[in-house]
Amino acid sequence: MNAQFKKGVLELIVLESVRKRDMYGYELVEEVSKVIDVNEGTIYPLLKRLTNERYFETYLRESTEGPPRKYYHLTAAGILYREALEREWDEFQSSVCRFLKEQKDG
Amino acid sequence: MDKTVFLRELERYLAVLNEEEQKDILDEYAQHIDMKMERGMSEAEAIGDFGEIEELAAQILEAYHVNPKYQAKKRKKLLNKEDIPVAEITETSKHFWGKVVGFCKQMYAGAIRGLSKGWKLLCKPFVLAGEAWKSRKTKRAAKHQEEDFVKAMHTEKSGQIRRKKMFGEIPVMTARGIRRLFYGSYNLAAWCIRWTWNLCLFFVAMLTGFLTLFSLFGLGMLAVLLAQGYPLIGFTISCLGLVLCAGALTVIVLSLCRIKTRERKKEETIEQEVQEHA
Repeated sequence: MNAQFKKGVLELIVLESVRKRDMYGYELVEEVSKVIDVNEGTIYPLLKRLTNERYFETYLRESTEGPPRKYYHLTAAGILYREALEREWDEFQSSVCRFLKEQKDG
Repeated sequence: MDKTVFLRELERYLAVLNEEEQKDILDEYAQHIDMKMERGMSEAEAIGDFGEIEELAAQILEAYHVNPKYQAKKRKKLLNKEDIPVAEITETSKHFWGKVVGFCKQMYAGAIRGLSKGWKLLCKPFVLAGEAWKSRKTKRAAKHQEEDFVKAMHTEKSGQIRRKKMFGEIPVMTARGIRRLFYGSYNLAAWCIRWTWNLCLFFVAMLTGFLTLFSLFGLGMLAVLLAQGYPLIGFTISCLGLVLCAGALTVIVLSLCRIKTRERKKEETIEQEVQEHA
């Protein structure tokens, strides 16, 4: 898939993944990898950025295996941001689809 | 690539971030690699999935709004000194050494100036003595010439005079030496006296200056009290007198100090003129 497509939509996928339940980094990477094939390394910087922008909160939780894991939790600002992104995506996607359909029909 | 190598390499790229953030990021990646290895992936494979470290680091830095290119430049300069072309090193070092050398030169020049000033000040009496001696010498030389002339005039006259001169030579020499010594010590003493005099004047000026300031302060206080209706007019007037008196004294003392040097200068110029005329 086009790398630019991925980059644009990755944020939305990450935000959506965390919305239902808090996740730790590796879990999140796996979740995202199910949807799109993405370089695992690039998700951590994204998480970092979203945390810096206060869309995520992080906390540590002990795990039965290995060291404590850092969990990501969506904040209120994150929820709003995710909704805005989703709306944008819907608009964008539908307009692109409409355009393609028109071209095909015409 | 080894995990520790990968983490160390990444750390170098992230050197611009603060320690806490660096540790945070590195822990996350370390954990990720560990988990992948738990799922049966090899270490190299797990790390290979991250792609190029430089690209990865650039993305991380972007999350902090840091220009990764700037960081790369800085990192190269700071950590990979062997990677920098030789020209760059020499240029920077030249620049650096140029600065150092310039600073040293300035320091040296300043020190030399200070030392020479101090030396001149210390030498002054001796120099003066030497000058005085020289002027004496020239005068004496002139005298000698005159004497020679007179002698030449009187050569046909008796050998008695000549003999007298021969015998008189030794006491004249000793007399000259004594005179020189005397003149030098006189100059030294004069120099010392002048400086102590100036210092004394300075101290007196300081005292009178302080007295002036103090009485001025008192005058202000008294003026305020007088304005408030206290019967202090006599005190105020005498305080005003004190201010004027102390101020005048300060000025006089300072001017005395200055007149001394000016006089000396005048004397010097006169001496020079006399020498030139001679």
